[in-house]
Amino acid sequence: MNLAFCNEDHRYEGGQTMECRWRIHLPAARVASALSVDSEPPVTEDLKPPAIQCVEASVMWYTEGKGDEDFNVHYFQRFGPAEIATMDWSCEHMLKTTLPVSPLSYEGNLLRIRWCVRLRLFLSSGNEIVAQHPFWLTATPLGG
Amino acid sequence: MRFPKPWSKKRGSRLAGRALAGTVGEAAFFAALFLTGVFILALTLAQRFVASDWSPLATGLGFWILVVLAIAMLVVGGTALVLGVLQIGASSERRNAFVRKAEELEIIGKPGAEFPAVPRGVNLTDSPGMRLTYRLPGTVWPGKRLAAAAALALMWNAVWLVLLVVVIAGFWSDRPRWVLTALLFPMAGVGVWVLRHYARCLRETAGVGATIVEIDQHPLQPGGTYRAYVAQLGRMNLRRLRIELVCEEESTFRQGTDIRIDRNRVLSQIILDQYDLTIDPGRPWEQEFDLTIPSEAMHSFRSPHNAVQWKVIVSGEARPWPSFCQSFPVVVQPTTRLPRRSPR
Repeated sequence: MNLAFCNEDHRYEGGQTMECRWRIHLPAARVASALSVDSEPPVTEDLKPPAIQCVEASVMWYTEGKGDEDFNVHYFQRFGPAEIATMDWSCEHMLKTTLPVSPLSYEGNLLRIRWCVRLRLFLSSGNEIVAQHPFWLTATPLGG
Repeated sequence: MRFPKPWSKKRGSRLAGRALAGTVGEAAFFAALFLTGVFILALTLAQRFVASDWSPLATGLGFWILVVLAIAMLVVGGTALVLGVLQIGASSERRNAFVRKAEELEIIGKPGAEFPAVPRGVNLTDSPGMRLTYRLPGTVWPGKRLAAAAALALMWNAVWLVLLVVVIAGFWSDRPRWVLTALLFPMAGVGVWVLRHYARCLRETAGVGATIVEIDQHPLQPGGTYRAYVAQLGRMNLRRLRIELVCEEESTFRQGTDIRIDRNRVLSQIILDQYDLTIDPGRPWEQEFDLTIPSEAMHSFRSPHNAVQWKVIVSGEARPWPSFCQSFPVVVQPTTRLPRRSPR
């Protein structure tokens, strides 16, 4: 999977519209769980379109640090089996959303707030592949 | 010294302090009423159930009249004492606001839709200020220690009075309880000590007056400069009074079966630090100053397990009272091109 942000520095101001293009490359075989969130042993399988049940694209923030993780999804799009069947895998797909003004990305001592675009592939084997592309949500400059 | 003139027009200002002697006297009266009620009830019950020829309460009043009288004293004394403790350190407006908003868990409020994950802070702006636009509510109720001391003093002395009745009944019916009689003396000493501790807590809590913090705008924004006003009421000499603007991270996490909270101060800006102040009921200490939020600072943030909180902290090292520390939360919103909306 690859994903390209419209801003090369991956920095967006609150209230700005973010556009990003994502694409799933379908090689003959891939270690499916290399990027998986669960800790099951690696599984090698064919990633042909029938092997992908659905794809979820989301723009979200989550917390990292000492406290338990919190997260909130700002934008969510799901491509179900019907869309997957008609999806052209050679083309890039567009994700466009107007970002909120808060919470801004934050790098603290106990707490970090991260924004990301997350792509999650659900495979027919039951495995999931998750790719996470971070970006920075920053404040609108004063007088801007 | 000015003598009160009951015929003259009532004068005063909003900064009128609490009468310390009145507060202490009222609490002492209701504590005495409560304990007398315990004593009469115990004596009446003992008279009825211990021995038929024992009549220490030869008042001519019937058993049920005495029981009702004692219970009335218990209820009136106990209720008035609890209400008195609750009134210390909280204005009637604030108590009223708490009653109306009892369902809201936090004074700072829940996040709004315009600024996700940023507390709205609507409860911070519902009280108009005397000097500036808003009077900020504090988060620390100073009467916790007092309530604990009152409960301990009343319970200990109530038990002691019941045991005293048992001892008197024993002597009266020619079956003296010598061990219990001997135990009553050290227990009385402890009772006197807890009563004195309660009286000291009451004087201390009543002596340290209210802290008022007002601000001209709310919510705040990074890079903004705001006018703030602080007044400290009471009757005390302060070794030191400090006003700080604090930004604090707060994380809630599970450790085994426990839920723990960790806090870390990421910014502490001392606004004012003054030494050797004298505060009188008629002459509170007050100061107006500028409050500047650093332009690179993080905005207020709240999620279920994490938070970034901003607050103005007023702390003092007082004598003869203990040190105090009052915290007044404020909300810092991120800078935005959205038009600012006044919560009022």
